[in-house]
Amino acid sequence: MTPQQAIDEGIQIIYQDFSIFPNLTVAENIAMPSERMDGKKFVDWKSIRAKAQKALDMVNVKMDLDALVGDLPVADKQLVAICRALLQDAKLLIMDEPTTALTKKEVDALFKVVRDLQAKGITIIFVSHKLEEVFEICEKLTILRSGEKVIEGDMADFDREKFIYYMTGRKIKESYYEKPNIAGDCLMKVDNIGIKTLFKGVSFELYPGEILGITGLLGSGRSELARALFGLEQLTEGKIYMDGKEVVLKSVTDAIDLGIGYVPEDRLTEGLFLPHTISRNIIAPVIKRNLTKSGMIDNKKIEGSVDDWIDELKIKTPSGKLPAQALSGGNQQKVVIAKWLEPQPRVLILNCPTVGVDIGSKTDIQAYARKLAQNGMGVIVISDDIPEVLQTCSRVLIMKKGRIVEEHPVTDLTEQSLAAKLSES
Amino acid sequence: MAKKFNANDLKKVMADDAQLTRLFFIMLGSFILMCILVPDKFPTWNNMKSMMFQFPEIGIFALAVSLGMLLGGIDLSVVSVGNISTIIAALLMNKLVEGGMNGGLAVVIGCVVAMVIGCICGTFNGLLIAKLGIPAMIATLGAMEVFAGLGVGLTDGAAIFTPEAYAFIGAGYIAGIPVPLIIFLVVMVIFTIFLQKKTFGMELYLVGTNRKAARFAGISTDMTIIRTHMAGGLLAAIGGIILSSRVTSAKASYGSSYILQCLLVAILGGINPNGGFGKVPGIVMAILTLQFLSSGFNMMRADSYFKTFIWGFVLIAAMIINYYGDKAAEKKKRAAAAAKRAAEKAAAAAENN
Amino acid sequence: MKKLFKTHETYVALTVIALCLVIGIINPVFFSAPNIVNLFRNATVNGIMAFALMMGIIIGGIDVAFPAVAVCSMYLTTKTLESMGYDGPVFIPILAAALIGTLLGLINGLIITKFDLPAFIVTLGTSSLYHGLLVWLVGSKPVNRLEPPLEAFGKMEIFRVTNDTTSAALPWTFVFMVAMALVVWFILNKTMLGRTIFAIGGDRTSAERAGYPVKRTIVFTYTFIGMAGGLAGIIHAIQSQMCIPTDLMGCEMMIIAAVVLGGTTISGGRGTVLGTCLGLAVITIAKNSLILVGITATWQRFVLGLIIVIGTAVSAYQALRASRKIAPVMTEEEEGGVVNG
Repeated sequence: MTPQQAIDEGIQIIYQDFSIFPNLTVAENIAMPSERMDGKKFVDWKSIRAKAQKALDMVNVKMDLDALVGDLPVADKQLVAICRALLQDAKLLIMDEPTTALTKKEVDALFKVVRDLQAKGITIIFVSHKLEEVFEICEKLTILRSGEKVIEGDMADFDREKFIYYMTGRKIKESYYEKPNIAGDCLMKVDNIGIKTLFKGVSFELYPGEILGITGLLGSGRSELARALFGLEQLTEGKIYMDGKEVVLKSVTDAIDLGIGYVPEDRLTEGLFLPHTISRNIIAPVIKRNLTKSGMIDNKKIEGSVDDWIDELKIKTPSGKLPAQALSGGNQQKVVIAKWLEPQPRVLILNCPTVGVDIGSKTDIQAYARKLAQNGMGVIVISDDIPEVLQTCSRVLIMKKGRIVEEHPVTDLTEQSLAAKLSES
Repeated sequence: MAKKFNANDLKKVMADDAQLTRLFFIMLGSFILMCILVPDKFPTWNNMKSMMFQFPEIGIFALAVSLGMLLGGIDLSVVSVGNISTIIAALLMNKLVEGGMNGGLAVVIGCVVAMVIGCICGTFNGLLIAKLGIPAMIATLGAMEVFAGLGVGLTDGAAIFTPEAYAFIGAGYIAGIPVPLIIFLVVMVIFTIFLQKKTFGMELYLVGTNRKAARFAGISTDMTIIRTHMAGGLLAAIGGIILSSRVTSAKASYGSSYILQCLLVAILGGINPNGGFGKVPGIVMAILTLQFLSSGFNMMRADSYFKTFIWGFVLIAAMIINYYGDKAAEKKKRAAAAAKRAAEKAAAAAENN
Repeated sequence: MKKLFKTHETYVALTVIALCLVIGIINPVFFSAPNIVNLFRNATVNGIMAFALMMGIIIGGIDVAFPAVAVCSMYLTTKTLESMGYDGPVFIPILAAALIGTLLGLINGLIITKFDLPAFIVTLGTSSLYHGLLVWLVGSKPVNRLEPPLEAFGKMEIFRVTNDTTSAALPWTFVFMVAMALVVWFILNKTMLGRTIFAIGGDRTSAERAGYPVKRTIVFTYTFIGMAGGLAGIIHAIQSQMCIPTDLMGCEMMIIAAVVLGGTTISGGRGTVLGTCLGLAVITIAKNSLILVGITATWQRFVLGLIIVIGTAVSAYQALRASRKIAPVMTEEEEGGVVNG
């Protein structure tokens, strides 16, 4: 079946990346495929605008029809993709991980649209790995694992535990992380740092053995803060201390040399060299530490340490010589983590470490973060995945509009209370 | 401990790099073809000797183009960089010799100056690409016009003749080996080491694959781009030196048909035009293939435009062959993955029972 | 009004005006009617190719084979006419040249889409393949005198201007460039085909998923560029009243430069006919008028190269700065006071 045949049958897919055209306007993005379906050979801008407006009205959204889609925020891009699907008389709408890039508020708005569509008689397949969302929006459930169906049934027949069991194939215990009793001075101290209008007045201290959660919605400045802590952005105010000594992070190299590691948000574009081997990916930040005495790359040494990481992190691969793109999302993420443990950091920053990762690998990664902390590393987890923050971190900072507004030990928080704190403005 | 070379190692190398293996047979094939077509002239010592003087310059230019391609861009300015460096060097050498300097010393100074200018031109390219964000193709195209225009301006478009001693580089022998061949071998060995064994090469491959991820891995992407183009400029100057000394003059319009042949060598040699993949041995085999065909055609008194036609044809054919080759490799990989999954499933089933 | 200042076209237009003023002040001959008419005349052949090439760059590709296509078309056509002593209507040879171009362009398009290959390298290959084959098989002897119908057409003038020293005419061939600009504008803005070209240039994968006929559209684009190349070739022969099979080769660099200077992004998805007109103006003025300000022929290529580098650098740098700008998280008042959570 070609995409065109699927479209003709009334099947529409909202892809994870939305598959829109950044260089074209909202109106054209929404209405052009439908105009094409009508068999038009020439452009009728009037009809395009009318159709686009109609589609926007269907989902109850106001948007500038002449804005370039590339300039829109993520949530609006998604709405454009949905509107486009609606105009093509979708009978079956497949949404592939539609909430990955959305804030809680936007997810709620999306769910409202989804329910409206359902009321209009459109069938929706909602592809997701987020347990809370599936419970909230779905009526029937099919679980796939490693390319095979493991169970299907009515949502009412599932509870949390059963869901996780079938997703992972094992039972997973949920519990809080407690900072072990490790004596040690403050690893990293951040004093009143800020970058122009991105974030301001951020201060915290990180001790060995601690997992510090920084949570906030998309656009709260959390990513910018993370990037600044790794030397990717330059601070305009404030100071950073490592082991009590003031440091300046001018570049990523400085951060690596000071013992800071950073697992970035988007492993595909920021974390990995997809067509290159796993071993090249892992040693990329520390090429210079893997040289022989004559300055040549020491392949034997590299092979040894890569094999160690494959064992240590349970990366599912026959060898380190496979290209990273041959791995599943979860195993790719483990490669990225190995890449940042190889330089032996003392502070590890994980930015949304389990986005787009299956539950099995997710638990592996979270458990590994705990293990690292227990061995004396300072870990910072930046995430808006509420259960993840609660299960991994020992202390939580809440970030809003570029500032840290609250700080709590994790034991003071519940899923409900943290969710409430995040969404109140 | 000396490592013994055996058939198994060879098999492994061949399986690891299907493209290089394919290329090896293409090279061998073109050699045999020419031996059959012109049996009286081609497989002779005289021909071998003249070929050794001919291919090094294009081979070195092609390596310069390949460096740009490894970054995911392209370098169209190499030949004009070669020309402008040697034009300035020739002007300087003539002045020095006129002033009574020893010819040999003047040539050494001239070559050093040419290479320095090559590096400056390459750095200029690198700055345009890394710091101003101009796509490599457009940047090097503009730079090509600038360098070539500078060459024309300095010389009024005429050829600048070089001092006598300079001809040694393009036509001399050291220990019975043609000097251009020695330069070629040295350059190729150095760049094989730099690309495969040094930090520079690894960073170049990684930046060429994914600039953003490279930045996140602490690799200075701008510096890598600038340094790579600087190396390209240096190579272009070396290629220019061989070219100009072979014809004992420097001129802005020399080698105007080279850029196509350079690209041909790079593509045939397995350099991925999207960046990140490709090796020096591929370039060496590709330039040899090209030389065998070229010499053979010359002996058959083929029209020079027939050769132009053939280069275009081979370029397209090489890409189509690579296309089918990659497709076959992917199919094989997919079949292997499917088999692995089936085996895993069987094992899991056995475990459950 | 504010929007007007943001567009790339405005900057290029200002460059054109500045260039004209500087040259005109140094040497008032620039503003004389014959000089201006000559500029339009000289832009004709390049313009036909530039507008078509713009479509190829918008779709996210590039074509460097069109000069070879032009040469093949003009040489095959004029050579055939010469051998048969042609004396029929003028539109038939022009059509024939365009057809030859269409065929060669079609081959380019098919190779690029069938094997999913980079357009730059493919067209570089076919360029030398076409040109090599032509000269190898047909020879390189120039056609020194065109057949009467073509010769006569070349001498037909729309109007002629004269002043004290010189006189210049705008030939009817100029109409072909205007027509090409209009056709390209119509295709890009008024047909679904044109919008598909923009869509593919914006995001090819998305276009495939949305069911757009991606490969067919790409093939069309290269075929169209071939057609334009064929047309440009025969027009070149008609304008110069002879046909040399090595003419035009190498002109692709200038034409790519004109399109890119006009604001068409080399990565695809953006470009306008107006922008290309302006880019073409920069290149044509620079190429033909530098001599008026005392830059001798030997230094022209250098100055032209500088103009290309500076022009592309300015637009690339703007794009780079725009992409590096991050949206602020805080508003100004929030930045001042403490936010109460």
